[in-house]
Amino acid sequence: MDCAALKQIFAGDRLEDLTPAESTAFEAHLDACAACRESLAEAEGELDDLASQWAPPEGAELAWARVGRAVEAQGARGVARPSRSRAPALLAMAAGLLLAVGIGLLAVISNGQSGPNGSPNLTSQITPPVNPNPIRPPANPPSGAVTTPDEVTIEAGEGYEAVAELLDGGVVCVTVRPVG
Amino acid sequence: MSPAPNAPSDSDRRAQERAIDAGLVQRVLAGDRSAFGEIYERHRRKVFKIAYGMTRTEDDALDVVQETFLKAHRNLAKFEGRSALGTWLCQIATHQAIDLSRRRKVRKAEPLNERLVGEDKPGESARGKAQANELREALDRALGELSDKHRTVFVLYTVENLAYKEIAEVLGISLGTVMSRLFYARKNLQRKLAEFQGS
Repeated sequence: MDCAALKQIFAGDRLEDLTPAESTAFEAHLDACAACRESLAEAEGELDDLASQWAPPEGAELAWARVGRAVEAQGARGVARPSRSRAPALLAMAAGLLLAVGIGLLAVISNGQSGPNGSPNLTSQITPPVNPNPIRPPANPPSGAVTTPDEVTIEAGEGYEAVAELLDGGVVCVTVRPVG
Repeated sequence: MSPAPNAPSDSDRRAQERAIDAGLVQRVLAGDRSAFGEIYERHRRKVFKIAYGMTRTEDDALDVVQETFLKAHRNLAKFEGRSALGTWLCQIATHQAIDLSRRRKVRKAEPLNERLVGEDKPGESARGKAQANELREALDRALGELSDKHRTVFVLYTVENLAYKEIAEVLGISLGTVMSRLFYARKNLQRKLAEFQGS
């Protein structure tokens, strides 16, 4: 590219975009030619005069409000993190409970004496302890929760035994397993 | 308004702005949800002006602003800081505006009114103010008659005083092409303004 080509560009007479080769030549010539840099400065002066006359609007505040709300809502979501929902944990516990109970056996529990410390008498009988503060099933249990009545009858068949463990909050964990 | 990349004060200001923005980006990525609001406040007006310059209507410009910041938030983790945050936002806004303009096809610009036009200049008489407004309106109309690519470079140059290299980076074109489009836009705008003033 020569001075004439650059002057054509600064005069605004070049409609087409520069090719990659022309772009490289343009920058190289501009770096090397003081006269062309002076021409550029003059063209920039006219450009700045024109640019100073254009004043884009600021935008109405009412309209900005809805944009601000959308951006604020997006920003409030923060960085994506793994779900901390309790539903998966409850589902896992319920599944484990059902699996333990349903190893294919059915046991009949007769009321038995509680062992020491209020724990059930564990052999092949299961007697849920008497809970002075029974936990009422929630009206709308969360997804995955399992509610049971106060008395549970589980019968372990021949060669199997049922083991119950009283957990905090009155939850009873029942495990049916082969004897020995 | 011409870019002056060698001016110390301008460079210092830009470096300071970049440092503030970089800090805000880190806070957002660290989970500070208020930091993104600060980014929005710092850059929304600039983004709006670019969007308006390209879409020609206030409603569309606000849509572009909203989509720009939503997209920026979703992709903030990918922002590497090689360019200024404002330049990155300008890039997103430019592409959003171009996409919207293409979907809208031909759209007549809203007439500027007193509410939207820039602030009153001190000492400006009523007549002077009216003439200035008419000139701005004529220039705005002339801007709307430029092609998208010529209008885009002029808006980027005017709104944020972006350097030629920054404009080239935003648009993904060469420095020479930025200048050829910019000066072509200038010539056409001058011609249309001359026609307006002649009439």
